[in-house]
Amino acid sequence: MNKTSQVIGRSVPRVDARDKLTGSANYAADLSFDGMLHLKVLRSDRPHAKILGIDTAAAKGHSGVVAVFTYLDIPGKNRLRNGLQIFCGDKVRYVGDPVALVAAETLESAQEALKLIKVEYEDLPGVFSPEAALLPDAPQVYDTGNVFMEKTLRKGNPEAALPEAAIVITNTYQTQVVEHAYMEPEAGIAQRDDDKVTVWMPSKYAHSSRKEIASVLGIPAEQVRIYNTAIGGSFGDRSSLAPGHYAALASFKTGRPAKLVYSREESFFASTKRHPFTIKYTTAAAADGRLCAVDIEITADVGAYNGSSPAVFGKSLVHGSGPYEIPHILLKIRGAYTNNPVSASMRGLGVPQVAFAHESQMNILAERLGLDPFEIRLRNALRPGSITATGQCLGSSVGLVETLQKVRDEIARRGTPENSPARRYGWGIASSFYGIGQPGRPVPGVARIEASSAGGFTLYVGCGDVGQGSNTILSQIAAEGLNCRMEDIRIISNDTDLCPDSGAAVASRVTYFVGRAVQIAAEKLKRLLQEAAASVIGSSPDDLQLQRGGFCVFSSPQKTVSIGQAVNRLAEEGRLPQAEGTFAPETVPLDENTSQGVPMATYAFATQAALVSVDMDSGEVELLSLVASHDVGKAINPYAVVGQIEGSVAMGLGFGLMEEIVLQSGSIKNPSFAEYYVPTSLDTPEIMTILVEETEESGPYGAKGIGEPALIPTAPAIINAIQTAAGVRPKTLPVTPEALWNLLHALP
Amino acid sequence: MAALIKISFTLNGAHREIWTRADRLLVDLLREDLGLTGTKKGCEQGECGACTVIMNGEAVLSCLMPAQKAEGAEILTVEGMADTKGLHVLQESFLKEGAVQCGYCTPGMLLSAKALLDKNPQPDSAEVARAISGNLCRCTGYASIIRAVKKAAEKKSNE
Amino acid sequence: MLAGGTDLIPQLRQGDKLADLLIDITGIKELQLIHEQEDWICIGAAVTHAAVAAHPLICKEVRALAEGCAHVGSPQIRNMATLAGNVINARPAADGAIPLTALAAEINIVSPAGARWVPIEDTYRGVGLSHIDPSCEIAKAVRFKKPGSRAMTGFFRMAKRKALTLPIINGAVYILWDQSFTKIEKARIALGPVADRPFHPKRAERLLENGDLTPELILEVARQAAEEASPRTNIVRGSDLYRKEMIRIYLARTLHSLRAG
Repeated sequence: MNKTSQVIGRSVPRVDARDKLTGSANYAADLSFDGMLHLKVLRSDRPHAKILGIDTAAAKGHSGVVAVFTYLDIPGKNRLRNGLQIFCGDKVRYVGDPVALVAAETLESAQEALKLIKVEYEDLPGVFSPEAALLPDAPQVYDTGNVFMEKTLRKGNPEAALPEAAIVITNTYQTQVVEHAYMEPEAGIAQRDDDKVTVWMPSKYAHSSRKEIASVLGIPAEQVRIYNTAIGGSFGDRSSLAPGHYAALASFKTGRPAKLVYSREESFFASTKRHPFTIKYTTAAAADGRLCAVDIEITADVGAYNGSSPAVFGKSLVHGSGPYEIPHILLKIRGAYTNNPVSASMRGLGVPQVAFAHESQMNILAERLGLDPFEIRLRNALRPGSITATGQCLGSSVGLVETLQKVRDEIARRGTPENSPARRYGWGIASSFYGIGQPGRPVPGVARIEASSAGGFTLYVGCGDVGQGSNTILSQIAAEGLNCRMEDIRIISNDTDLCPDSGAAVASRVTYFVGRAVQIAAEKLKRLLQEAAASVIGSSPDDLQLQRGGFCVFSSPQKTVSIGQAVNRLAEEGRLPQAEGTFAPETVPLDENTSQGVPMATYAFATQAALVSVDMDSGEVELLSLVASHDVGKAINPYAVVGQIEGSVAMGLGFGLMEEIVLQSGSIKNPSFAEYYVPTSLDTPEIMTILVEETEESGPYGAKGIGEPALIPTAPAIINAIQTAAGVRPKTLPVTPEALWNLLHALP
Repeated sequence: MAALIKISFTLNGAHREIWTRADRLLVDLLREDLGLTGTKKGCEQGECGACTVIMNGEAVLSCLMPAQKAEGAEILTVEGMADTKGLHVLQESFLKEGAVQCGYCTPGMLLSAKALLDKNPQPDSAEVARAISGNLCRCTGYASIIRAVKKAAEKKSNE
Repeated sequence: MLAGGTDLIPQLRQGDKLADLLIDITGIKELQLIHEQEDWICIGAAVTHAAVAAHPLICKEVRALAEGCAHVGSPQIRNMATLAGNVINARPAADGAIPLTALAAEINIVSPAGARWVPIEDTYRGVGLSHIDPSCEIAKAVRFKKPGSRAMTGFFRMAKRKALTLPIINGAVYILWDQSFTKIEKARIALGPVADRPFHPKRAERLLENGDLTPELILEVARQAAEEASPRTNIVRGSDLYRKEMIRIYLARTLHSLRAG
């Protein structure tokens, strides 16, 4: 790319921000239709029980109630492809498991009717940890057993390498159940017109939601239309079973519009969670700190159903050994069903959990060997040409070393505050990497751009903006390729009838996969219009260059053809003024037995440093500063990239210090923001971001991704900082004041 | 069943009279009865700030406010911030500083920020952070929002 | 009776309380005032936490109350919720009621039978249960004796997050010195949530009285107070052992800061 960028690399305002700022953006709960039914879901209040009978007669007879649905009323399939089900039939498997749906004229009637549904349960013993679930006589969540999946990654010969190592350290780490806690509670509204059902819902993958809902209703996918409403945060969720499914069912069956909104408490019970991991981590190194082998055992709580555990396990396998070149690796991950809430995709897909482990191990190793935490990472860091855990040879876009150097320089410049008797200070660092996209066989990014005779462009992508700014980024890429203003691009990303399936807003893939597809589509459209313009003006396409608004001849710039004229010429020729782009990089799915392969084409790298103060008497930790250096390939919109990093620092702070879903026999004891602590503005630190741009050749203008990479190093950096400051090392998250106090006062 | 009552108040600068259920909460009066869905529901328990509006100059939680308390009051919602001349200086600043991501907390944030600037035209970062400490955000980490509020304050003082 | 509604509205929604009629008392002018009356400071029942925390008289004369009120919930909650309501809601760790307890405050209750001043401590019946019956009684004001130039007050609080969070522990201290500032004439300590209501560690208070704020005495007082406190283990907020220890730590720190001040 030789010319100066028009919009790439500029922090243009977000294309959807104005509507959000004026209150005119429509989230699903903001919509209403005349004659609309109000829905409420009846959920199980116990973790494991047979359903002997569901008596809906009283509820059906209640004033204002139009219908009550159970599993018997599903026209199509009750079970989705992943394993989640619309209603329980034979048994309930977790507290919150959906049992029935009430449709009524008012919300009040629906709520009253809910209480009138009589479910006869026969309680079964429950199982509440994967370890317990894997015992031989454990209560069976499914007749087929409690083991959901076991996967292994093997590189080299770890069994031989481990005993030969100069130093071997083994520790066990534990992470907690985490809530997505997006600010918009789940909602969906549906309307049936003859044989077509339209659903307005926030979905990170509307085309998938369409297929799911169609399968539930037993109708072809073409008869379901999903409008993606404004999405109030996703962080991995908004992917599968949602109010939209229930609203579609109710509308389909009654012929009336139907709306379902979860209360926040219901959202806590109904939504999926981050998998808690127990990680037994063995690191073996030479005396000079070079890693020679790792042996990792991960046990994961899948919860009552499979939400998307394979994706989480896949990413955990690929990233479990950290951003380091290690010749011998053994990683086993196994997931067990329990009667706990469902674990599924949450920002980072298992990598925040494993990063806590590997970054703790690196620091422990460094201490033992008398090495500086930066030094040990520099000695082992992945570099261009390095071989990863899956045997992949990395390309040139590997900026880890630069992120380490930048962070090291910055914290050296800042220094550490003076300790006082009760308050100690310390910096801690952590590095990470994250593959862009889903491992193995990725869904391609697809984009279509149409030019209009008025000279503007419409960009169609089937990928809803979950708040990370994809609508803006993709518009920037289109505007750059078509040499036009942002205002000339209209993006439509929210209608399954109009938009191609571009894959999900997941695995930080949108900029890279869909952005590249947009870039390709723009190039193709430009060539198409250029040909048409050439035929209008009677010259060769190569004599023309694309200016803003049209084409002009190189040699005589006063000879111009507008976009509109080119479009009209295409129409005369019977050709559509549009082009499509598709992009999926070459990958090699992970081998069944060894998980060797080329799962993702490119990786983002990062190093973060956290400065904490520790109150040695109370165990309170304050995160004072955070320096974050991220290799994003190319920052298409720097403010958007920085925004993702700053937001994920808050999320990482929560993950490290204060967030935890507290479960007691499978029941959530803190289902509210009063007792589930999402960081507030007073908890977040001063943040400095340092962007590194190691161009990824296969990405749009060199870009990779940031959404999840942003989160991964934060909590590990905080924990390493706690160790520096306080001299103790927590191995369980979250590090609450009491948890740290216990460590500080532990009997020898 | 709750009786119907009439509430008269000033909403976004205009006098309004509306009949509603006696047990209505302000957030539902705004969203359901008046169709102003800019004010959001995040938790309905006063724990997230998404429903923040300004009442008689103070930032309050409309999800905990009986609608009848609005009688005779002056209420500002996000829909009342922009005027015929354009966006409010805070809205412009949020737009420019990249302080809007998913946007769900945004209306509440704007109103908490406006309530602050109306009382304290030149707040420092700590004061801004404190003013929005009752507004949860899961996307931005608050940093861009604090920058946006300070820039807006700067701009206002230059006008 | 409805004041701010920040406790009552969620209770009504949950079905924890029922009401056919709400009477909003916050519009009554005389309930909106903070004023001095002889040697009392009176705060009307409609006065919000925000108003208390910002009031020059309170900031100057009763730091602990200003701080307590400044820590209630969030800015929006402080704009709505009243100090009197904080007492009537009868939670053991209420950030407004805890300093009031240390100040030996009284609350004026008006019922069909007449008006009476009741020590705040006597209004608690149990967790969330008040002797004040909001279905037939109105609180008019709270009052406490102005601490004066020989008095010192302090407030402390510990929570897992810096806003919108109920405390792990909180507390307030009131100390009245003799003329020479060498001997403590009167001491009151209020702690929460270490009992079913704001709690006075009486033996700790007695230790302070007739003593001086030496480091040794502070240590002993804090240790004693923690021993008297009986918090319960809370699955979200923390264990009883830890909370007792935090009482000791934070009370000692507060007493030290008074000593330094």
